[in-house]
Amino acid sequence: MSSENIMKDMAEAGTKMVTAYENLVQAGPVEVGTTPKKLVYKVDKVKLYRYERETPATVTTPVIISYALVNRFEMLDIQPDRSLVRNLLNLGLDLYVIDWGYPTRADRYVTLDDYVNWYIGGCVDFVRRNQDVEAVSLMGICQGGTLATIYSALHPEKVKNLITLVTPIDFSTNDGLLFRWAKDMNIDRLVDAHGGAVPGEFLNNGFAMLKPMMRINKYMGLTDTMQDADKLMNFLRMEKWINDSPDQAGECFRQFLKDLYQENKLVKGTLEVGGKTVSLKNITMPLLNIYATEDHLVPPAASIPFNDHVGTKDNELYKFPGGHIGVFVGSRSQKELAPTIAKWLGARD
Amino acid sequence: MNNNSFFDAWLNTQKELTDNWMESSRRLQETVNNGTMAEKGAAIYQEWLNRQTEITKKAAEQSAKLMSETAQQNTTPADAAAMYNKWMSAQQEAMNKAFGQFSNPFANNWMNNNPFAGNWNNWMNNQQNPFATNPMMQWMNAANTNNWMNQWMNQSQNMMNNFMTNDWSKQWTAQWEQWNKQIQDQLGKNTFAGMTDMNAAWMKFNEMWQPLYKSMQENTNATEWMKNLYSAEAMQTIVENMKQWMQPMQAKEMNQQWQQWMEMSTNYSKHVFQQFAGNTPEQMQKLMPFLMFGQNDNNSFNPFAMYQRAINPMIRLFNPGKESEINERMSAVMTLMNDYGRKLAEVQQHIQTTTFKTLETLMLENFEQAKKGVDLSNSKEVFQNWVNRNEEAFISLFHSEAYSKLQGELLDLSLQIRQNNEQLMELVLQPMPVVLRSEADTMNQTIYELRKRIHQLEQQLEGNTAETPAATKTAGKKKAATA
Repeated sequence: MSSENIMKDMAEAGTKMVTAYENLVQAGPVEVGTTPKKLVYKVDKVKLYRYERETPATVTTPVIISYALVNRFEMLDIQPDRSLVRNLLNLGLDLYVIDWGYPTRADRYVTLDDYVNWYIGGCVDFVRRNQDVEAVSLMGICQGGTLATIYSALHPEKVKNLITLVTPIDFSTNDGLLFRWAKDMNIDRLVDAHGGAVPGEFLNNGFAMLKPMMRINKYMGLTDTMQDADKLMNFLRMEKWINDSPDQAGECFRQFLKDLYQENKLVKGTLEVGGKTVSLKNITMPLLNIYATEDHLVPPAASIPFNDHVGTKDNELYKFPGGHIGVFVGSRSQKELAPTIAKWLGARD
Repeated sequence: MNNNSFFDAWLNTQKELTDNWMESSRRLQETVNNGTMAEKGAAIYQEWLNRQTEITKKAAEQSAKLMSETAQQNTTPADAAAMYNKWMSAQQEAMNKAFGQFSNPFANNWMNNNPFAGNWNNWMNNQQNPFATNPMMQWMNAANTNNWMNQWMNQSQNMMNNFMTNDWSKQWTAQWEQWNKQIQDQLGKNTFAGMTDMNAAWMKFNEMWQPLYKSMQENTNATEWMKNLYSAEAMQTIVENMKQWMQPMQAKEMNQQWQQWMEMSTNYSKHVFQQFAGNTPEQMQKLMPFLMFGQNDNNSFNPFAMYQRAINPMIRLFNPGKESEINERMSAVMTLMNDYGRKLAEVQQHIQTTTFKTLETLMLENFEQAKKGVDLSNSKEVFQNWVNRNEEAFISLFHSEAYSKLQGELLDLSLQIRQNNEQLMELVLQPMPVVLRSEADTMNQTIYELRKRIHQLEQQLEGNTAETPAATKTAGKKKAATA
C-alpha cells in the first residue's frame, strides 16, 4: 500500500461522506409499524391492537402476538416490504398485538403474575369475548414467547395453538452471553438501585456488548449504504427501533431474571406464578417452536429443548437460518416465515 | 531523522533534576542523622526548589526550539512514532532511576519528622507520572513557585502536539463533526456521528498501518519494526474508542452520574451552606495567631484552608440534624467509588490486553504474509480483518467466567453507589418542600394495590369469567370494545 492509495481511499471515502450527508439531511420522517391497526382494549399501560383487514380472515382463530418486554413490537412491521405482520395478514390471519407500553417507576410493583394473568389474560379474555371463541392462538416472540408459554401452561383451555419464535425456555445454557452474565449479577440490587424501573438503555448496552464489534461493522458498510436514499431509510428505521427500548417493571424483571435466568425454574417445573406452579406438561395445545440458528441473544440451546418438555405430541421444531432479528426482517423471512406460520395455523384452525 | 539534539537536551535535564534530588536527599539525610532537620530542612528544601525551577525553566526555553527543529525533519508518522517511543523510554528510564535512588530507608524517618516532607513525597510520587496534574500541581501553585511545573507540562504537551502534526485523521474528520451540527434530528445526528467515528477509527488504523506496511516492504526485520509498531497516540485513540464502544455495563452511566453528582454537590443549596456553616472556617482562622498558622488561604500548611477545601462540598449538603448520617453516607460513597475505580481498572485491563494482543497477532501474521508476497495493499481489508479478530477475541473474553464475575462485581459496585447516592439525596432533600422518591414509591405501591383490587372485584362482578367460557362470552359481548 502506498501513500497514494491511502490518499485515494480517503478521497473516495470523503466523496461518499458528502453524498451520505446529503441523503441524511434530505431524509423524511422515519416511521415504523405503519400497518393500520385499531386500539380495542386497554388495561393500565398495556394496549391491545387489532390489525385492520380489508377482507375476512381465512384462518378464523384470532392470533394474539405477545412481543418481548424489551424493545417494541414494531420490529414485526419495520417497513411495508419487510413486515411479518403484513405477510400474515395477506395470508388470511386475524391478528392482534399486545403493546406493553413504557413502564416507569410507578410500575415498579407490577409482577410477572400481572403480566401473565392480568395483562395477557385480559387480552385473551377480551378477544375470546369479542370474537365469541373459546380459545385463541398465541404467538410469542422472544421473552414474549416465554410469557405466552407460561400463560398457556396456566390456562391451556384458552389457548388453541401456541407459536413461539426465538423464545428462551431452557436457561441452563451458557451459550449466549446474556445467559452467562445474568448468572453473575446481583438482580435484587439491579432492580432496587434503579428504583424498580430497570432502564432500557442499560439492557441495550448489554445487548450491544454481545457483539462488541457490531457497531464498527454496522458503520463500516453504512458509508456505502447511505449512497442510496432507500437503503438509508431502511437503516434509519432499524436504528429507530433499536433505540426504542422501554424500561422494565422491576418486580417482573426480578422474578424473570432470578427464577428463569439464574435458576431455570420453568424447565425444572418449580416456577410459581400467581400462586400456581407452572408445568410445561400443561402445554397440551399444538406447538410450533421456531428458533434461529445464529441467534446470539437467545441461543438455539435455550429454545430447542422446549419441545421435549411439553405435554402435546403435536409439536414441531422449526429451524430458521439467521439471527435473532434477521428471522423477522431478512429477505428470506419475507418468503418463508409467514407462510410457514400461516400454513401451520391453517391446518389447526 | 536526526533527533539527537532534542533527546540529548531532554536527558541532560533529567540528569540535572536527578542530581538535584540526590544532592538534596543526601543533605536532608545528614540533617536527620545529626538532628538538625528542623533548623536546616526548610533551607535545603528551598534550595532544592530553586534549583529545580532553574533547571526546568532552562529546559523549557530550549525545548520548544529543539522540538520544532526536530519535528520539521519528520516526514512520516513512522518517524514520529519512533521518536515518541524513544522519548518515552528515556523518560521512563530517567524517572525510574531517580525514583529508585530516592526510595531509601531514610525517607520514612524523614517523613515523620519534617513538616514539608509530605509535600515532597507527593511530588516524588507524582514523578512516576510525568504528566500528572494533581495534587502536585495544586501544591506547586500553593507553594507559589511561579507555576514552573505547569509551564513545563504545557511545554511538554506542546512538544507532543508538534510531534503529531501528521495526524491525518484529525484533520480529515474535523469537517464531518462540523457538518453533523447541521443535522436537526437526533437519529440522523447519531447515524452520521457513528459513521464519522468509524471512519476516524479506520483512518487511525491507516496511520498505524502505513508505516508498518512500509517496513514490511522494506524487509525490515520483524524485531525492529515490532519495536516501532505503534504510533502511541493512534493506538491510544483506537483503544479509547474500543472502550467507548464496549463500555462495561453501567460504566458510562456511572461516569455521568458521578459528574452530575459532583456538580450537584458543588452547586446545591448555597443558602443552606450560608445559614448553617456560614463562613465559620474563615472566622475561626482569623482568631488564630498569625505566626502559628498564617492567614494565607493558599498556604497548604494552613489547616483551616485545608479544612475548608476538604469539607466545603459536604457542608453544602448538610441537612441540619443529619450531619453524621450524611457524612457516613458520603464516606461510604467515596469508599465504593474507590473500589469501583479499582474494579473498572481490572476490566479495562482485560479489554486493553485483548486489544493489544489481537493487534499484535494480526500484525505478525500480516508480516509473515507480506514476506510471502501476499498483497496487503487494501487497508480496508486489513482493517476488517482486525475487526473480525477483535470480535472473536472479545466474545471469548466476555464468555470467560473470570470476566463475567468481574463484570458482575463491577455492576454491583456501581449499583451500590447509586443506591447510596439516592439515600444521600433523600437525607439532603428531607427539609425541602419536595416529594421524595421513597414517598412516591409508597404512593405508587398503594395505587398499584388498589388497581389490582379493583381488577379482582371486576372479575368477581363478571362472574369469574376466567373459569367459565360460556359466561365469558355473554359478559364479554356486553363489555366488548372497552377501548
